Amino acid sequence: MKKTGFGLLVLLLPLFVITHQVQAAPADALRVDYHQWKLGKDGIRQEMSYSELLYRKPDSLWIEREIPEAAQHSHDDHHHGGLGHKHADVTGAPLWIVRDPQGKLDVKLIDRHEQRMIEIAEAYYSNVGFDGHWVESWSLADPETLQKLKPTKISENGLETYEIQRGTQQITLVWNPEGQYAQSITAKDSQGLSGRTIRASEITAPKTLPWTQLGNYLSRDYSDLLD
Amino acid sequence: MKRSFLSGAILSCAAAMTINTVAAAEAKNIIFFLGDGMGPVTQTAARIYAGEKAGLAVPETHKLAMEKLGYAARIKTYSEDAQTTDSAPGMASYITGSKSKNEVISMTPDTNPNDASGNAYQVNGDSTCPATGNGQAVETLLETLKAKSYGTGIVSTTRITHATPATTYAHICNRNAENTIAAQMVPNGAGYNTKLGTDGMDVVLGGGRRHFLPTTVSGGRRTDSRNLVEEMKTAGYTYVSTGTELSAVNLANTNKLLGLFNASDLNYDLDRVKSSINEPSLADMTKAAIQVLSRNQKGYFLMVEGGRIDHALHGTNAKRALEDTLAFDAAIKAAVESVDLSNTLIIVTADHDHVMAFNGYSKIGNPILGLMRDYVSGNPTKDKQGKPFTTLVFGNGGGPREATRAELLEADVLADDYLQEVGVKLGSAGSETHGGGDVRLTAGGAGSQRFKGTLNNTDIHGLIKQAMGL
Repeated sequence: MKKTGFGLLVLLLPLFVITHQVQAAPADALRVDYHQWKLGKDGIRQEMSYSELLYRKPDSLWIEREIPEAAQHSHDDHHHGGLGHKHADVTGAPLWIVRDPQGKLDVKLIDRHEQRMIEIAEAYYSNVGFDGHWVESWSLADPETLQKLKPTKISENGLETYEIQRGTQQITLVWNPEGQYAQSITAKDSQGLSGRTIRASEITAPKTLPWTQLGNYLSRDYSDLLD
Repeated sequence: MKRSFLSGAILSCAAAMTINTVAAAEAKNIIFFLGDGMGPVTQTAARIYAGEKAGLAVPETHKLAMEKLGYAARIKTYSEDAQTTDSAPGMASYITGSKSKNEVISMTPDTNPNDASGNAYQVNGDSTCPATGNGQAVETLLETLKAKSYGTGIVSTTRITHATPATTYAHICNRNAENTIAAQMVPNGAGYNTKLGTDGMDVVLGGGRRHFLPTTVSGGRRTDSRNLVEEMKTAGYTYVSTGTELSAVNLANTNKLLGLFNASDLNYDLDRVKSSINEPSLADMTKAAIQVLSRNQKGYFLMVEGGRIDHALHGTNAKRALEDTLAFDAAIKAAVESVDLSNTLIIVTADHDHVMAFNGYSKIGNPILGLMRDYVSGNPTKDKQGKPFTTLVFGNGGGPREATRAELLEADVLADDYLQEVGVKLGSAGSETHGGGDVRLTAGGAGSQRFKGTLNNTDIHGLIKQAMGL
């Protein structure tokens, strides 16, 4: 009996995990903090960090860089700065990505200053910092890939930890199956010359989602950013 | 003796006049190829890239069609108010012989694109240029030749209302007023440029349908409710909107041809081929234009723009820039093979450079889009942080959004969507700037011997007129 009971538990555990994933409501808003560092052979260590807000619905994703107030000021100055020939400044502008039932993506860059929705065709994805991967953008990691791996640890609250070796990179990923997002991803190279950390935390979604407030925005396309 | 001397002088003078007259009559037709933003580095890189594609053991030895033209010059490109020009005055200088300020389309040097507060003289594609007190139109070479009954045509991979093609047929204080620019080409419509005669240009092929269609039509941007496509058809134009439709046109019986193949710019050539998009290649459009125009017994003017080279460079996407440069070169090759060079002048140049740089010291035959490999060891060259880098990089631009340099792999940097690294990070997508360095010009065919040395972009207009006896 004991043996059977143990066997049953083993059999049920994956089912429990899957059920847990299916029934839980994914987090609809995240704050994601990015941090990177590297150490050059000149001995200089460079660090970089920034944060983004993610608002998520099953087929809609809003990614918005947080621009601190002081930087926002210079950002706006730059926007108006100078006369004559210049390109529109949409640095860090929000991206709104919608997936249709066939999986086709509609990517828009939102230029709040000029009140424009800029349609981004696939050839220009990389120019706006989108790699074309819906799932990785929505969840920060691909859960299907993770399902093929065995977690090294499952915490009491269900968080799954994965240890992954990719080339010289040692990656530790903590997956939140309830919220359907990677809660943290830490990568560092075996020589200790570079590292990267992504940490996501759930936040309260705005009462009015940003993509519902674009009624007056002009529809434009990427070619409008070029001369 | 005296009489003999005088006779000799008269003879010499007559001989000289004859030579001048012969020289002046050399070119019946002019085809002006403009590679937008195709600076020297882009041209060199495209040459090597073409050599790689051709499977040459030493790709660096390859020659582009534009490099097989017999004469070459170096062109200074500054505009009236900027060391580094944009496409509007860059092309207008060639086509009018006059400098103008950045953003201005074929107007006198005193014309301003913005008001005193810096607000552009255009709103959503409609001109707000003052009717008076802000410069005058400057006659373009196309207009000059139209007045003399030559055939006239323009071909571009950008919107046909975009700066480069617009400089040939329109005059406006701000290049972004593309709705107004479109109206200038519609014979006898409101806003028509009467210098295009009673019947307008003969061939117009490119993108930019949105500036011909009203906002009530999907994708249209005209705010005046006009449908310029319908107006052009009424004016006698055969209209096509796909590559298939263009190939089905009986060009032998077509005198007026309008092709608008995209709402905005045509697709990059890489994507057009890879995704089998139903748009004509630049070579196809060029051949079609030549076929229509060459029936004009007087001769013709044709402008062909490889306009998306510039756009890919703005995006620091070297691969698409090189692919579009090769598509541009294929159009030049097609033209050279289609015309009689004894009466046709072919000019190939750029309006300005970009800030793409060619790093040293890669070994011979190293893939031009690949990681740099040292010419002695053949190993990837590393930066001070021990990371490899590519041969082609940019002095500034949006570049990849990664704030720190990633560990680059060969497969990554050869990918279609790879964006080269940039020195000065400007952040915004497509924000890489034009470069202020000189560009190349090559010329072949009738009257091409004039095009040599270091020239100002405004000199070209006069030299073309000389070659055509104007």
